[in-house]
Amino acid sequence: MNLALGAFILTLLFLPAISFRLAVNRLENLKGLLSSLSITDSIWVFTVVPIFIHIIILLCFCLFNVTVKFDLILNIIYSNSRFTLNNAILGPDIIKFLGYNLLAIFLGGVLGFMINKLEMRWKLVSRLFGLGNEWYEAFEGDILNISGEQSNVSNIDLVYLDVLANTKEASILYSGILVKYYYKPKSTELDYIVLQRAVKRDLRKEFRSDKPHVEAGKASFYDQHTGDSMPVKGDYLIIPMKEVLNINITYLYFDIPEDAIDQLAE
Amino acid sequence: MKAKISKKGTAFLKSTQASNALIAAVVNNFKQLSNGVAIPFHVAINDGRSQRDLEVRVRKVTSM
Repeated sequence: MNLALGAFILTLLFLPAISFRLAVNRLENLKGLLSSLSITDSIWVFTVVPIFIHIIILLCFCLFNVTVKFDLILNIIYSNSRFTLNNAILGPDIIKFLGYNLLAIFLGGVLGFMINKLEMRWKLVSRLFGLGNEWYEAFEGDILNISGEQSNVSNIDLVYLDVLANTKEASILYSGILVKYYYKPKSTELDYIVLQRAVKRDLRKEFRSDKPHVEAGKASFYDQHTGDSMPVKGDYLIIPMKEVLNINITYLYFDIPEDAIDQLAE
Repeated sequence: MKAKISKKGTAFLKSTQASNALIAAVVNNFKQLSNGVAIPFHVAINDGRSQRDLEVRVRKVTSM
């Protein structure tokens, strides 16, 4: 019985790491970057975060002269057979300990929320842990910094892609605004990309006519120009990377007055 | 992963006419755009009382 209780209490002490992770997961890009570092991520989340939170709470408790009976908890964790359980004495101490854990879980979530804000504003976590990969750098525009020069990365409004894909019939050039991209599970290998307002262009030369050949039947004639760009029906186009030959990236910036942004008609 | 989209970009993607005009401007003038030329195109602006056209310029972002 005591052994099970010890395991339960240990789990309680680790719970701030879970609430922290759930809060961090709300930021999709950070979640994606961290998931590619599964081992490192688990180690630091399940060690550093609970330790940090427990230290902060204990320091606050010291300041306000609040005590949690850790000797009691330690006896339970160790499953000390000489330790006698008395419900009357144990009740308030257990409630205090559970309240302590609840506070730790809450602070884990708050810490995760703060980390998200720091990541969104300054990419703090990505820089601190060296998160990122070639696709992330390319799609975020960090690739513009590759020469070490100052760049206009912060000016990027949209990322426009030309994606050359191979189908059974022909090579098709899909163009559109990149809205999302997905990695393969536990990998930084790109799985598929999502384009909005996509257009497609068949790169086959347009067929013109069959003309009778002098000796052998007929001969086909093709236009020198390839097909025009046609809008793809639907709002989003999902392109699996297995069909992609190459991607051309263009970072776009608009000159539009700030006050006109919210007035764009549907 | 969410792609890099600014506040302006989000507003454009929400507006069908604006994003269609943008795509048309980019697709039809891609060579000029690649050379760093700002491409003008028109979007409809609705200020609650009236609707008017606004010229917007799109250009590519490069390293300085």
